[in-house]
Order: sequence, then C-alpha cells, then structure tokens
Amino acid sequence: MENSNPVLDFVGPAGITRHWTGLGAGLPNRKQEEWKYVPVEALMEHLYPKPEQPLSLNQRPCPDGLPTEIRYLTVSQALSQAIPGIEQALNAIQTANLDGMAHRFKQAIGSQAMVLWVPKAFSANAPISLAPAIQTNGQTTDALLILLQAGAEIDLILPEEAKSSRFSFTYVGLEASAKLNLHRDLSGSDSVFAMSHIEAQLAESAQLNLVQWLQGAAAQRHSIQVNLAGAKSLAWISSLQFAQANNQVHSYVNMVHQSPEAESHQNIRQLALNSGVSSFTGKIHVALDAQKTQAYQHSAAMVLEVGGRTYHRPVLEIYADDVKCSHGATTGSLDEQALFYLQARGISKPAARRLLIEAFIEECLHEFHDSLQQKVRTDLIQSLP
Amino acid sequence: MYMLEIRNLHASIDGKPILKGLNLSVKAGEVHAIMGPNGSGKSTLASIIAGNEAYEITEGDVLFQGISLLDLQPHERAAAGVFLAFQYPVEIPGVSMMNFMKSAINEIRAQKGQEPIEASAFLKLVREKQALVELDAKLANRSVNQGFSGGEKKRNEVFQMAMLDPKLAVLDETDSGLDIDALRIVAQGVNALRNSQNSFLVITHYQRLLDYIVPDVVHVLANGKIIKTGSKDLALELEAKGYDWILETDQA
Repeated sequence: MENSNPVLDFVGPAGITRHWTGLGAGLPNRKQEEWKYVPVEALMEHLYPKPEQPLSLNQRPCPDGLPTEIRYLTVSQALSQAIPGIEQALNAIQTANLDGMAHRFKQAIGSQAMVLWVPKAFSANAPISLAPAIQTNGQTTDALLILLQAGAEIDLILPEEAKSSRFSFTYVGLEASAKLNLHRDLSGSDSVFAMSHIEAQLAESAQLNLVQWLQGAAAQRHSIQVNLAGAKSLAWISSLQFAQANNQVHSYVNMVHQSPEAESHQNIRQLALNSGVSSFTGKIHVALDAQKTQAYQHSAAMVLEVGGRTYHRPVLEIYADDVKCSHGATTGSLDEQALFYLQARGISKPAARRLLIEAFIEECLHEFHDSLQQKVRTDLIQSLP
Repeated sequence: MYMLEIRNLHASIDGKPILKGLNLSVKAGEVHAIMGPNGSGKSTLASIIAGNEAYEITEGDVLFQGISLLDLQPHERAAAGVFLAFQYPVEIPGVSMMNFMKSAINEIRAQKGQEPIEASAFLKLVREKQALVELDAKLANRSVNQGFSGGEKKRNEVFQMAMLDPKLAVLDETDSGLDIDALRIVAQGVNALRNSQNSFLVITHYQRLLDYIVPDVVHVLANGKIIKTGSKDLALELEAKGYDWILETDQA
C-alpha cells in the first residue's frame, strides 16, 4: 500500500467525494434558518456511509512516569485481565448510535484500541500526557478508552498535533464521583484532514471538563457526545476554533441529559480569517425524567477578515418541564472603538488586535491547562495577520 | 516652540466637513479651555489630535512640539506624549486594567528604546496614581471600564493620564456625567499633574469645571473654527449669556 492515499483509505472514494460535495454545496455553511429542520445526523450518515473494510489502528505510546496505579493496555489485555468496567465500556460503544466516521471504529476497538484505566478513588498529582499515536502511511488512526473508577480524578492532556491526516475515537467512562479534566490540542498543518469523535458516559455526580483547541487543518470535523446518565453529573465543554485561510473547522456537541439534577455548559469561541470557515452545532437534549436539569450553551464568533465565515447552530430538545436551559450566539468583528482606545494609550495596532482577540477567547482559554494556554497564545500570535 | 500648534485645519467625516479652518496655539505650561455649542467640532478636534482614522484631514496641519502629528500613528502620538481622555471611555471585556496599563507603559517604553518597567515599580506607580484620583483599588482587577460607573470611568481616564504622564493632555468633556464630588476629585487630579512642562486642552460645555481647573485661555469653537478667544472671564460670560450673542457677532 505504498501509494495509498490515507484519506481515501479511510473514508473511501465515495466518502471523500460526498464530504467535499457536502461542503461545496454549502453544508454546513448555509443560513441557520435553512438548518432548523434538517436531520443532521441522517445527513452525516449519508455523507459518511458505514464502510465495509476493517480499520487498522495506531497506538499512542505509553507515557513516561505513568503512576503505577494507572493501567495503560490494549482492550484485549484489559479483557483477559478482567479490568473492571471494560465490558460495560465495550457494550456502550457497540450500542452507541455513532455516525459513519465513528461507526467504523466499532469493528476495530474490540482488539486494537488502548485503555487508560484509573482505579477507584485514585487522584493523580500531576497531569498525564499521552503523546500522539504513531503515524503509518502519513495517517494516524487511534482509539482510546478512558475509564475512571468511582471517585478517581485525573488531568489528561491529549496532544493530537500531527502533520498527517488523522482520525480518532475516544470513549470516556466515568463512574460515580469520578472527575476527568481532558485537554485536547487538535491543531495541525494545513494539509491535514482530521476527524474525531468522543463518546462520554457519566455516572452519578461524575464530572467531565473537556477543553479543545481546533486550528490549522484544511478540514476538521469533531463531534462530542456526552451522556449525563447519572444524577447530579456535570459536564463542561470549552472549544476554541480558529479557521485560517482555506480552513474548514466544524464541531458538533450533543449533550444528553438523561437523569435529574445534572448540569452542562458549552462554551465556544470561534475565530475566522479570510476564506476560513468555522461552525458549531450544539444540541441540548433533556429527557422526560431529567428534571432540575441545568444546561447552558454560549457560542461567540469573531470574523477577523473580510471573507471569513462563522456559523452557530443551537438545537434544544427539552421534554422535562422543570429545567433551566439557555443558549446564546453572537458574531462580530474587532471593535474599532476599542482598537482606537488601546492605540491612543500607546499600544500598536497589531498588539491591540492581539490583546482584543486574547480577551475574546479568555473566558474559554482559562479553562485550558497552563501548557496548552501558552501554546494557543503562541499559535494565535504566529497565525494572525 | 509651541506645545501644540494647529494651522488652518480642515477635517471631514464621511464627506461631511466638520472643521473648517481651525487655528490654535498652546504653549508649555498653559491650560486652554475649548467651549462651544453641540456639533461645533470639539470632540472631532480631540479625536484628530489623538489620531482617530475615521476623520479625513483635507487641509492644514497639527504640530506637536514642531512635529506634524498627522504623520504619526495613534500609538506613536501617545509615545510622543499626547493623551486623550475620552468623552465616552470604551469598555473592553476580558482585558484587565492592570494588563492594559502595563502593556501601554511597556509599549511606550519600547518605542523609546527603554526596558519594560519592573513589576515592583509598576505596582508602586499604580498605588500612587490611584490615590491621586481616589480610584478604588478593586477596579484594577476588573476589565477595562467594564462595570465602572460614569464617575469611575472619568476618574479612570485621569488615572491613566497620571500613569502615562503626557506632555499634552486633551480632556474631552471629562466633566460630563460627574457629580460635584467626582468633579472635584477629577479636577484635583488634573491640577496635581499641571506643571510648566506640560499643557492641557480642556473641552467642556460648562463653566463649572473651569472653577476647579482654571484655564489660562478660553476659546469658543463654533461651526468648525475658533470664533473667539479670551481669558477665563469669557467662560463666565458664556455661562451668563449663552452662545447666541457670540454666534451673531461672528456672523455679523
């Protein structure tokens, strides 16, 4: 397979044609009104049909200095060693309603995926960083299952930076009162075609804080499904999206409240330069029994140059009658008055622009791990005109 | 050499002429007040001195210590020593006052080839200047002007002026929206900064500010140019008679 095309290998010629046809037809770039009643999931299923060929996964190497209490092993090993929670996780993945891209992983996860398992009540002193999966044929395809037993608590950094096309699937299983801070760096070179899906299952009082930095790839599509299955569970998603010239950056969140008194927050910041396109589709689903739900979504976008485009698509589907839910979306450009105010105090125009852009993303950025915050700032400074 | 010399300045916005041949000279150590009816061009003048690109200069020049300001970007004017206290200070969510002031001071120092200010020296300067305008220290932890009352915003402008120590300060209706106590505090701050090496251009509608900041010269700006210049007594006369008599005299 020396001459294989990594993207075509993954989604197949029909899939890639449909992807670009979809983008070319204005998906998801059309007016919001036109999207109100479009069954996006079915549409994506059409764009990314379930492929027949089995998938070959790459693996993230075992990190140095991993605490001995934490296990990092393959699914096969986890099954043979009867690691607690592994069977439930595999069942959850097999029964999950995954779209075409993520569905493809189902066939491969059973043997090749990696598992990061954290025992009951274990709390890591320092963040754990899992290096990117090793590339083959200019492509990375990895699947990771993150399983935290009851009361466990870790900070996990997942750098995904790569100069290749990449596809990833991550399952997060949090037992009662477990807490995961997950930091994803999804930046990459202009030639990268990147897709990922996260499927998260939260038990009672579990907490997921997921932050992600999306930047630099020619086309990115990242989806997150959070199932707040346990009462009083809590999910925070902070996503920073930066579409440079000719970039397509699209993220999707489906926040499903299945139990009472759970809380969720989606906080999105989008930036777009000339001919860059960024979109966010965020759904809040509140089941009939999920009373006392609190679910909030806020997406703000700043178009930095003429020709850049940003889109928000909030979707709220609420069946319970005693809930607090809200969504908000704003789009604008840099405030000329604020720029002049800063300049009048001696700050040069480029520095004033940086200051205002950093201020715009700050609310989202402060959720990021310190090392990733610094990287985001550096990436931005290097990329801004 | 004048601190500020404006020669036959004509300026417009969106093709509409605002300033129509304005002349003004301010020496070091002087305080000049500019009064005038609404729409006469007072704020336009202030914005042009600071370098607002929204205005088009169609004729004339603005010289600061003999150098044309029109050739300089707004941040270069600030570094040279020009300061504008805004009539409507802009709220900038997400930019903390401290980060903003430190960035401003260090950018100006960098333009002068100086090293960034040390943290301890910066904090000492902040405390000293906050005391000057009785600015609540807690405001320093907030975003620029966000959640500030009208009086706090104006005091914050004078605080920034004190921090940057300009040679020429233009106060654009700094008294608007201030109660008596706030007016006194703002004026105290300005008076404390007055010396023989700097100059102030105080734009106001009301004579009461000039009770606190006593000007050397008072100008009346109407229809885009200075139509009368006098001593501080001119402000008292305007307060008593309004602008009509002076406009009629000018037209005659």
